[in-house]
Amino acid sequence: MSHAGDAAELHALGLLDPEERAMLERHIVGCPECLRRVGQAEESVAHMASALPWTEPSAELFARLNDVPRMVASARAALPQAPLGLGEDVSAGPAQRMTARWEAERRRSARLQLRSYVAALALVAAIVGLAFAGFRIVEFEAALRGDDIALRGDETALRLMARMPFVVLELTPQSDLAPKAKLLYARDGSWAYVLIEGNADRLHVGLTRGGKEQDLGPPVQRGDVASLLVAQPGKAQRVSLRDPSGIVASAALKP
Amino acid sequence: MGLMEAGARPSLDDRSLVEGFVARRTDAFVGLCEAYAVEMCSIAHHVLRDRAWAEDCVHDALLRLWRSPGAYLPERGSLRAFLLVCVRNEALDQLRGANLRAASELKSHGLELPATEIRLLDPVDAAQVRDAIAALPDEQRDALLRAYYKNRSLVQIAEETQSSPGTVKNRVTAALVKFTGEFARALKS
Repeated sequence: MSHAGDAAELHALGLLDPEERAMLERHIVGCPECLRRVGQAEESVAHMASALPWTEPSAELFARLNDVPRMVASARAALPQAPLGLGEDVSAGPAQRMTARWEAERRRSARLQLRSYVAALALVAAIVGLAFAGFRIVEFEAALRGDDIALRGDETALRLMARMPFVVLELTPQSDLAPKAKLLYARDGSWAYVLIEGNADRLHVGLTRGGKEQDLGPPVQRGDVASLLVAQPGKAQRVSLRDPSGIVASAALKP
Repeated sequence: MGLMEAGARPSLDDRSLVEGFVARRTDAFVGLCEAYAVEMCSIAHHVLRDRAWAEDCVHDALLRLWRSPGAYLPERGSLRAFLLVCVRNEALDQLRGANLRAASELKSHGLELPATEIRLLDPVDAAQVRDAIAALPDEQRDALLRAYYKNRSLVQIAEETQSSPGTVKNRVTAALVKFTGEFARALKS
């Protein structure tokens, strides 16, 4: 490229994909004009960040960050140069890039292990909470902080699904009036998501746990599909759809 | 070197931080974490909506930067702006990658999540940012809000606004350039 042009602003707003960003980073190393334009765009976007609600980092994050220079130094000492730069380092050979990928994998595994401990703790906390509060049905958009921006329900579900394996089941019809419906749930009991095709006006979702069924209320209708995202269903045994005449479809959750 | 504490004041001034970061001094790395951790976490949390994931993301972004000597040049502009954009881009990459994987897994089950209505709320608290954004033409403001505060991609914005990706590109670019001028004006007044 002769000059980066609007790539500077698109980069600062997070609208470039990683390859385009790497190209831009390589370009600005030798182009002071574009370097300044990128810096200016980043400055403007950083101002926009001042409008976001603040999140206090945990002490654990500070401890992990504190360890970064030592980790990098020891990795450099132990391995051939294994860059994980903003773009792929074209000077690195295949073996070096492979080493970098292994290292990245190792770090990710370590994080996942840590995350599973945290998830287990969260689950315990949630179960304790449930003993007092019963099931919580969360319309996640409403659960967000008041000063936050509304998150689309499908995005919330995608975020949950993106983070862990899940099971998909079709609800078995028990009436001629039963709509086509599917149940998606995490095996760890952290969420369940019911999707119903068509109009679900008269339907309620039920959740059975410990042999007792609880009415979770009507699903949220959005166009031709209704859905309900259930937070912390725990060890639920069955999800059912009811209309005023009784259960019209249900699915048993596999333990 | 002792453990950093949340909310601790940076022990180095901005200039020393920048010089130290470029020279890859450990105390500068620790200092910039102290100085900008809240902002970095806030940005990652805003994108990922999950605190643990956001902290992982901040860690990943800083590890990546520290492994890349020369990633930041002082001529570029402020170190803070550079870091915040790096963290947000890391968060967006992780989110988009994870969403793609989840959507593809859903598709393999013959499922598609329902699209829902878009609600654009006014997300802006900071008065000058709000004023600068308010001064933008409607289409530019809408594109900028979707891109930054709703973390949409170019393709998503194009679909949501029924415009071409090229038009969206022009709108967000023009919006950010105009925002820069309006923000500077708002600060002066």
